[in-house]
Amino acid sequence: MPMSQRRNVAALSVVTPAMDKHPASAEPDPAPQVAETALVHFVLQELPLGLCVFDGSDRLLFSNPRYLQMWELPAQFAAPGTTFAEIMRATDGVETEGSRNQPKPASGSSGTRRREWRLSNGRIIEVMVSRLPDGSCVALHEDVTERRCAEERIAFLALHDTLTGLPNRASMRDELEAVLQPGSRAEGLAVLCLDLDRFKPVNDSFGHPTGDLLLQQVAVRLRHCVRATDKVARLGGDEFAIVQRDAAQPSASKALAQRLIAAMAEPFVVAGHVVHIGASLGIAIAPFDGNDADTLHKNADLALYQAKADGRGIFRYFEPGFDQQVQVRRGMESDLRQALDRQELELLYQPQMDMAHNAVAGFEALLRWNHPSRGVVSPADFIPLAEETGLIVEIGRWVLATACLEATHWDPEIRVAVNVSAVQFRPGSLERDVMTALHQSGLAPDRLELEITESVMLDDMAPAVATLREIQAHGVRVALDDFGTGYSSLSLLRSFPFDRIKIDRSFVRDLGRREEALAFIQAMIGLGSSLGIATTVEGVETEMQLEAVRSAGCAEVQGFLYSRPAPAAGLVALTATLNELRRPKPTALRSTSPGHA
Amino acid sequence: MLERIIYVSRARADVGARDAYDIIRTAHNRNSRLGLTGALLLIDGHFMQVLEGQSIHLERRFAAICADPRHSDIELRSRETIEEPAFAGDWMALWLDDSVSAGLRDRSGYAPGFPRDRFDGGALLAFALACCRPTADENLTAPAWSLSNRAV
Repeated sequence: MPMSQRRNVAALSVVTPAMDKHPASAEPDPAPQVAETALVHFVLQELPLGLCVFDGSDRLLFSNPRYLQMWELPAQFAAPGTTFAEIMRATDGVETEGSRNQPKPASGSSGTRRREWRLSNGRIIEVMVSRLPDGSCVALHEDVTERRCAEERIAFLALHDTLTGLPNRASMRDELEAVLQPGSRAEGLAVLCLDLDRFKPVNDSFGHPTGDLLLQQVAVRLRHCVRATDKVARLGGDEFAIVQRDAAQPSASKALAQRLIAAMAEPFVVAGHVVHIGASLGIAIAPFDGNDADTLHKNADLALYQAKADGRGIFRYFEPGFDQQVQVRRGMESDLRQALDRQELELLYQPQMDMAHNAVAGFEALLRWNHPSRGVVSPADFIPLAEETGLIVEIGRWVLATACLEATHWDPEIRVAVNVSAVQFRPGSLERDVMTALHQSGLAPDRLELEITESVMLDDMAPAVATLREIQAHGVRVALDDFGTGYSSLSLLRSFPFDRIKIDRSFVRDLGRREEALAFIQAMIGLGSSLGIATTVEGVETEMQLEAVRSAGCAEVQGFLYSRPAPAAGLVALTATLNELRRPKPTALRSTSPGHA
Repeated sequence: MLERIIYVSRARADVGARDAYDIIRTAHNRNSRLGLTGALLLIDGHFMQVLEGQSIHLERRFAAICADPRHSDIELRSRETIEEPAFAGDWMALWLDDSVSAGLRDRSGYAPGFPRDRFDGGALLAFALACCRPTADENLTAPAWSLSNRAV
């Protein structure tokens, strides 16, 4: 109630008895009295609160229009002398539970009580009833519907996530603490932490509104997967948690985790796009993995971290060693943040050989991290970390700049190929990074080739395609890496005019082991040539493999047979050696190739 | 080559639910990396385990299992080459005393320790599979988004 209205309450409790006594009292100066009464009358008529006054025998002395209007009472109930009981009979609605349950004051005592009614039209009326010492009674009525709704909304917001309507982190913590109270039965309790896989690319490519729609659908599916006694909460971003109660553990949490993973692996249709995501889960079980909310949640989260590190789309149970492993990973993360500044990153280059001319056609730049105490860290270990943390954007920018600059030292016929991660496709940034690298190095755009994997083109990712088209329009080439391993390789060829496809090394590895391997390679090369797309075969390690892919009509070949990835300093010499050796007699390399390794 | 082994052993007297949970969570996490599947039962103080996967991984795991101090009297009841894993997708299921119903015990002719004359490899496998059949509680109806229900 606003302050001005509170003051009115106080004023009334003084004024009302005065009005009651008025006819009998002899005032020395009636003129101010009349003016005052008129003023009071005016205020009461205009007051945004309902007001009614009863005498000691509960008969109406006075009421204002707002009072009748608020309770939707017919005008005859405004007549002085109407009994309280008559009014009550005509009054619609019920007293709210909270109001009914408050302690009642002793009969005949004075003081103010707050009561609350809910009308059948949904309005909520708060009544401040003041019993005065002479037995009369003043009631002030206020429509508090909006205020109560706002209060309920605030209470809801405090415990729920507005986007999905799911309970939030605080709510889940409360629930866990209630279940885990000493003496309560916490057996069969599992906490599952769930993180969406590949959510970020969806957000980055389609925009946050679409990402939000996806999260709402995710929430619906998650709720479908659990029993009524389980609780699903959204902890923030694409992190969710499920509290599973009263179930045989660990089998019940395992079954639930499998259901959740399967549900998240089904495609979503969001704003007209078909979107494939997935989920990783970590599980902690009470009492083995903790007896309190924070420990259980922390351990489930550590298990989740492990699930993501182990390959996503899977779940892990918490194990006591995880804490330490996560610290190792976090240590690596912090080192990686400094790797660029400390100049620990290096690019190695692997030649791509032109089969028609037996000459080096290009070099693929491959990232290496030389850490002072960790030694050489495998890209398989740090690239996923760089992608998860977003560091790949900065690192990718450095790779582009360094590789372009390096290529200016080579024969102008030789290209440089640079791998680009899906994470680098944030709107605007990749094209700008590419153009900056070209501009600053002075490298001709057609000497740069970007190698992207299918993950960049997840589904119909129009923004990624648009970015690639713009980059391609500048003259830069675009190659599809690891071709043949994804689930939509062919449809990708339709969605973007790639300059090159790189056939995945697994097909070459199968040559000589599986009869159909050569047929696959021939088919992919045939597909490429009929579409006018050049093909490169990766992972060629033996003469046998080389002859096979050469006879299949492959344009370019890359692999240890020619050279391992080599430092920038030796590339001019390596180019000369490879061009020299291959030209007169192809088989001569067999005895010399280890020398370049 | 895919193989399946099934063994029965006596659990150390003080092995309880916590130990079983320790075994199963480590087993789940590790076996899912190695592509091993199977089930572990702890009933009436005895373990019964089915383990399936590539021979090389199976042999290493079984060697480690035999060295585990939490059980003794290990009897390998079955070792065979298989075409398909029976527990595909289940890295490791755990079933304790109270999760194996009396009805199932009766139907299978169960006796503590899985006596050899009643439980050969085939009978053990059947028992483990029966334990792992989803309970009614987990048997949820197909959700609205599953491919079969979706309007195309």
